[in-house]
Amino acid sequence: MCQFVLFILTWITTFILALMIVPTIHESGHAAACVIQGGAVTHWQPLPFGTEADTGCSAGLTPFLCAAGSLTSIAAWLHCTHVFSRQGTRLGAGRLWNFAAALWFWWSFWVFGELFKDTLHAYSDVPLHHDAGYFVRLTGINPGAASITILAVIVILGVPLVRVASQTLRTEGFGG
Amino acid sequence: MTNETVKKLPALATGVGSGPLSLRLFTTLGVPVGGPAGDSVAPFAFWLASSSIAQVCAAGLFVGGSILWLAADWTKSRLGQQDDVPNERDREEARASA
Repeated sequence: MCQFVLFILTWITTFILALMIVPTIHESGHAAACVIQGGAVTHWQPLPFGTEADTGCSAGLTPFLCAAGSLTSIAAWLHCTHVFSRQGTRLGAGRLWNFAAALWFWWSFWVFGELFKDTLHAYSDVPLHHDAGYFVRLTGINPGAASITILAVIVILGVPLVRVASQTLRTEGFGG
Repeated sequence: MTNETVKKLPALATGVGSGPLSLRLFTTLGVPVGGPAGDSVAPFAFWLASSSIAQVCAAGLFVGGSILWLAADWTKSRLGQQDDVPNERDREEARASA
């Protein structure tokens, strides 16, 4: 029973931790893009608790700035997945492994959830604070084409996701 | 899929279910998570915390996974206990060889 409670606590902790990590990386991507464009970051709110996660840039909104958040999220997730699949086994089969496996799972969960919402937000209007909606409006591309492109990215990223998840299930599992 | 992999799935289901349920708990306790018009994961987190479909699915995964996992654990420990207790035939064989 003690093991069960510890397992639940690990999954809840990593769930919230990933909910802090993923938007922080996303907003950092916007901030970096802002600096690359020669602007200054006017405000930076990475955590989605209480207030909305958001980054303000003095250089104004550009398609690059809008896309930078999700692109940074994808790059960070690919790096995290690579490290987890290569180095994860070194952690053994104890609590540290359970923590790392659950954190990787929730990290993937939030990144894929974010991308899936982006496919829907491609159709959203500008007053809503959605990157994909702004990107479509600024570039003038067809929202359907934007959605299909994001769905294609999800499918491509699904290959390493399924591979690493099945490898984890075959070896140490996700704890428990 | 091996037997060992099948045993790990209820644990995974329990863990997956615990996430959205904890998000709802945070919202109930007064910590708003995400928002429909937010950036990054905020809309997805908001949907997970507020959607009844998401919460029912999470509760189903959590309860179903927990029951299966604890049942598997209980069965495993019972079988382990039975293996530890030598049966009558084992004792007779031990006497004969002595």
